[in-house]
Amino acid sequence: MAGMMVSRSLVVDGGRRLLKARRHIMVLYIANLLLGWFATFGLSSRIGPVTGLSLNSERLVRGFDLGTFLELVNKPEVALYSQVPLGLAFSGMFVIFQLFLTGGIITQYLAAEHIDRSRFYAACGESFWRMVRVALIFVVITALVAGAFYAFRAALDVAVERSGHARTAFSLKSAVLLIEALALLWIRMWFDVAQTDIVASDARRVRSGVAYSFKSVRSAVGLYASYVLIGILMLLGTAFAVFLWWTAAPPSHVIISFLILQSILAFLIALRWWQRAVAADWYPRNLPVRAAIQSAFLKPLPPESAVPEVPLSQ
Amino acid sequence: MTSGTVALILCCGSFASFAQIGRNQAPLSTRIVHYDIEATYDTTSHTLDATEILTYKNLTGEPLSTFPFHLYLNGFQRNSTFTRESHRDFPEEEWKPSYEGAIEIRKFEVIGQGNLTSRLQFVSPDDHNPNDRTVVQVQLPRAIAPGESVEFRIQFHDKFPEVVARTGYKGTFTMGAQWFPKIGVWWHGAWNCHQFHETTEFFADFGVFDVKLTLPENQIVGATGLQISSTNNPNGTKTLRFHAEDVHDFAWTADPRYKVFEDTFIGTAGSVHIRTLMQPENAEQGSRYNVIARRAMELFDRWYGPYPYQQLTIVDPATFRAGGMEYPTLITADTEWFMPKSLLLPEIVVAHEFGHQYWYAMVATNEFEEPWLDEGINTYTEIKVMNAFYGADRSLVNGKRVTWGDAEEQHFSYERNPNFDPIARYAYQFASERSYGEITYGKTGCALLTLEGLIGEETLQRALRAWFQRYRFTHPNGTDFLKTVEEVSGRDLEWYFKQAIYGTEVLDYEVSSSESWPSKWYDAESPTLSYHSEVVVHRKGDFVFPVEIEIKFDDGSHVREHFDGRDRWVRFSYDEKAKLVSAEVDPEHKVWLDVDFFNNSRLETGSGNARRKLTNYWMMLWQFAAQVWGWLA
Ligand SMILES: [Zn+2]
Repeated sequence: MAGMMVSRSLVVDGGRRLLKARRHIMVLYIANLLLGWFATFGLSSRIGPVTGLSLNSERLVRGFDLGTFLELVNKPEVALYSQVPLGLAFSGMFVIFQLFLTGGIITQYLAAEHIDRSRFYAACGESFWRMVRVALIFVVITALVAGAFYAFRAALDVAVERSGHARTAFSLKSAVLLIEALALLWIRMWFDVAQTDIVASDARRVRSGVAYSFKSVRSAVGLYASYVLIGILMLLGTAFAVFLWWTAAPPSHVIISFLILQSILAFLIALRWWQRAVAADWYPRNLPVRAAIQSAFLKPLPPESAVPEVPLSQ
Repeated sequence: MTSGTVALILCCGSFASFAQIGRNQAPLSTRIVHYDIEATYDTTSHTLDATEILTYKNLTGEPLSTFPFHLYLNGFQRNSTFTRESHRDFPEEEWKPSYEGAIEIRKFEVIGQGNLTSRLQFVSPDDHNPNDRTVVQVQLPRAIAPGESVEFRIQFHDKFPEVVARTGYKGTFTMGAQWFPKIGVWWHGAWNCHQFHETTEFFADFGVFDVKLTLPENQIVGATGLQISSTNNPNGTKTLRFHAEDVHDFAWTADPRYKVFEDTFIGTAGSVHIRTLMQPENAEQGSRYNVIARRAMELFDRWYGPYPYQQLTIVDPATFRAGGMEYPTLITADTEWFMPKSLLLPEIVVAHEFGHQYWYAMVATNEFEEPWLDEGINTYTEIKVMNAFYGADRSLVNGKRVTWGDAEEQHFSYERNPNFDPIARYAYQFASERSYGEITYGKTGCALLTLEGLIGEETLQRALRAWFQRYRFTHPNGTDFLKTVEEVSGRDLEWYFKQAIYGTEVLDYEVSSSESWPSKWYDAESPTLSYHSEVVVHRKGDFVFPVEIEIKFDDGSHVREHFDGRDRWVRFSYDEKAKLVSAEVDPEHKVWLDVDFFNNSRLETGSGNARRKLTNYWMMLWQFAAQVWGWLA
């Protein structure tokens, strides 16, 4: 019960921190949009000449004829698969850009007031390599956990394949996937706290920050509940918007379709950063623990650090 | 389920007596073979022991002393031709010991000529693979005179594989297909008995099957023909007796988990009992199978002729590897428990496999040598059935926002690889399994749709009706089919068949240019009162085919032109008050063999709508991917 109370205040207060940083989240979304747009340049220039003058492309405009689509993207002059590297490159750039902004946004989350642009970018620059290192550790740990789950699911596959009970097997595998998703979400939460810790304490030692965060999030039920809650909101919101798009958007109205799909993407970015804001809200409440553990070997927090500006008790 | 006959009657439906079977007083086919098989199947070891008495009537007109038999189950061995070819095309498929299947002849007697087991000899006429044991041959000491019958008494033992293709077991499910020594066909003056290949299906003579099958009492069984009786044995097994007339194969299936759905179709030859055996997970889809089966039966009855058998058994197998296959009066379908209603795959597979009752089970063409005659014609009739009920544009995917027609799917399958093989080719001589599928199903489907555009839908329907009525219960060949079409349509179509069926020429027309300009373009001062317009249609491929071209002008008028395709290109010129709007080859979309539908038309004013729509989705996709990767950072 107490956990739930904390969770609610975390979600609301995290939301406030998110709003404070809304301009930066908007920048992130615009980067997502622009990089996505750049990723279409190759395809657009290939599709245009084939569809532009052909009556056959009407089949893609008035509805969505899967056969026409497949024949189009399989044409050698279109070759959709050849556009995948470009898409990967631009989506990779987004990841790097996000890593760059992370330090700045967390600094804003931790600060009581709006921080100015120079401080924001200074924080981005200072934290960038540390954020990259955290991400690498995260990828390794996630891969290990996901790999273990994968092996478990493969073993389960073999077992249920013999039984021939397809529906039960599906339910079982869905349950395992749900547990896996929850486990990965927990790891994400741990690393979000680690990123916050590294920014807040200006810790150069990334690994110790990750280890410390692991210790401190082990009993963070309220924080995890907030993450799950926001995760559920993400799913529900996306499902609703997809439903709206599927049922209400006229197939030939690209603009309406564009707006609905983009609102989903903006919504997803906002909610993801809401989770991080919740982590940032949770972090200072647990700061005394951190200070007690590490004061012996950490240098004192620099005066410009955002941390002292945050009230320690609420 | 409790044991006992009453329970069996409840779960297996009503039995027919011998008297009831005789709907057809006179035999429908020339009955060359009579198989009398008594078999016991062990569901634990997946083995079967049987005695087969085969009476073969020599109607060849000449004395016969050599007799070949198919032993298909031996195809499921490591060094068999089937496995070798399958590995070539699907190297990623692993080999499991449970995939090993076998059929062993333990004793081979010829009544009046003694035990000839030692005279059995494996032969590999197609590829001389010494390790292939799918055809066995025997030389009799005394030849069988024309008109005389010979009786073979064969004791054999089957080891069923875990289903690799079509036959075997999976969990509690068993599909007993190609499970007994089956004699070859004397055809065009020689024995026709090919080895079992990756891509080949089957070919056999018509006759009568009496099969007694003993298996555990709890098994729910379906089989070719009609069940005559069921007797419970003291050892917990039961013996089911089946009888089938005027068929050329016998398949059965058993699974204690089947849920049985019954239905009836009333056709011009009387009522047909539809018995559908569903996997319990898919039970809700039993009605989907039955609805499309009835619809297909109705259309086939109306279009081509009656279904003369009293029963159709539809089997929902426990694995897709046994799905989508045809046997006389028994078909296997395929679905998944989560199959959405808008995805018409279960419907297509039933419409297709039912079609084989006509183009395989009755018009029994040689599936080894001319696979297009059953699979290709059947693909065409499957399209016709699906289009009739769901509409041509949505007969595969019938979604609110997304659609896909069955014919389009066949076109998509063919247009990617249109010229590796001609349609008329032995099944095992195709470049690959993929080419076999794309050409035999996809290209033949498109070739018959194109033929329909050429001679008319109703004419082709009459031709297929004539093909069915004339050749049912016989073994016609491709020439017979093409002659029938020519005869019914009253047209010389050799030029078309030569390219479409026997050739690999690619059919592709494009509007290579279309343009209007002021007639007095040189006089900038005078007002433009008329335009000169030109359209050039180019035959890109080597396939010569006459096409229509529709040219539209901006005053709403349009003209139809004809291009016989003999030259590589043709130019159409106009002097009109109006300007060109568009030019389109094959405006009614009748030429399904055309590999590229996009270049068939040309608009004067381009539209970016399709491009915008697709790039919008592509952009969304990569933005989403970026956010997913973003979770890692
Ligand atoms: Zn087929």
